[in-house]
Amino acid sequence: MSCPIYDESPDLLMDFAAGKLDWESKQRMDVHVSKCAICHEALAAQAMVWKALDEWDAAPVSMDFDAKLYARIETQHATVWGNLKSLLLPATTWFRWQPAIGMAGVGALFLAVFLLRTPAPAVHGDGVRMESHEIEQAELALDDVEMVDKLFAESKGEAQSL
Amino acid sequence: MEDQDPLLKFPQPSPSIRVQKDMIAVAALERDAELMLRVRDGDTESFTLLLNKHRGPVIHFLYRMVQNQAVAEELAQEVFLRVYKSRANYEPSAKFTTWLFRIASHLALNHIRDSKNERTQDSIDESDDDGRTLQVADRGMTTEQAMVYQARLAEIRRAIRVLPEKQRAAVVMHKYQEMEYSQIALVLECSESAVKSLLFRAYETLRVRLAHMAG
Repeated sequence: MSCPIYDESPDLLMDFAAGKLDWESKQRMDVHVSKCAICHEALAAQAMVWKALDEWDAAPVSMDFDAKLYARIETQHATVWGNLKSLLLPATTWFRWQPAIGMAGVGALFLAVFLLRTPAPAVHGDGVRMESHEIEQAELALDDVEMVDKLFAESKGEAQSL
Repeated sequence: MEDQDPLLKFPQPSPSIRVQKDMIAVAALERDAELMLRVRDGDTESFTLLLNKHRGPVIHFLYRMVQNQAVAEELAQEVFLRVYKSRANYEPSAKFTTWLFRIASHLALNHIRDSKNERTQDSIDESDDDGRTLQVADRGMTTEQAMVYQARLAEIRRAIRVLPEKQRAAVVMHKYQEMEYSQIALVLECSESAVKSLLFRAYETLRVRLAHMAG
């Protein structure tokens, strides 16, 4: 013997037992249960289970539950802020307790700024100047050579005339 | 007699009831989501309102899952802490309670799995004496009645405890939190038919285990 409702729609039985069905569905179910031994037995068993489960009350909540929770939230805030501080503020702490290192750091910073702001010599202009100087020197050297040659030729001619 | 049964094509709830249910659900959804959006914008008062509304259901759900009041409250603290921590990224895409119970059930299931090999059944029983003593005192029973009641309660708790974790979660949400199949499905991240199947198997097991308590 089987029942299609018990086999295929047991949730219908549960809803019926829990009084969750609307009036029309409840009427139909009343008629069915009065004829179906399987559903009748299942409903009685379900009612017994729920009655038993009803006996199990939950214990009352501790009085300090909220206080504990808010304390944990506060701790959470403090932890988050503490982590942020430890991430963001280690340098300032160091400066506070290590003034010499702090001062050295500031000094190094000033030196770096000074070096960066001092104008560097114009490399390109200097190069041009060096080049013109070299040409001048070469011209003077050629003049000297010409003069030596002239002197040498003159002295040679004087020797031949003698 | 069941061959010609018209109940196979069982009608859905009538439109008026469905509309009323939906309107209540939408109102609840909007209220909780609105509060959570205010929390996102830094309104701590709204967090207190959410805590006041959902503290009890979350702790009771966790208590029935882990069967230890101290652990349940510890896990519930974690649930609300996670809600608060994730406020900045909150988007009201799902019902607030679905999101809340998804966090709670994840934590509960993880705790059950983690402690499965660490804790013996005896230690679980001992750990819940506080809750049971309070219940007995509240009901004003004689010593004998209290003993009978405690024995019944121990059986009920044991019957729930031996259910597979997901079946246990489904039963607790269905029976005690009175959640719809669709919401349980969203919390447990499975289909609605899977939830119905989980519940059917769980209740069948409970019927067998608790059958002797009838009458």
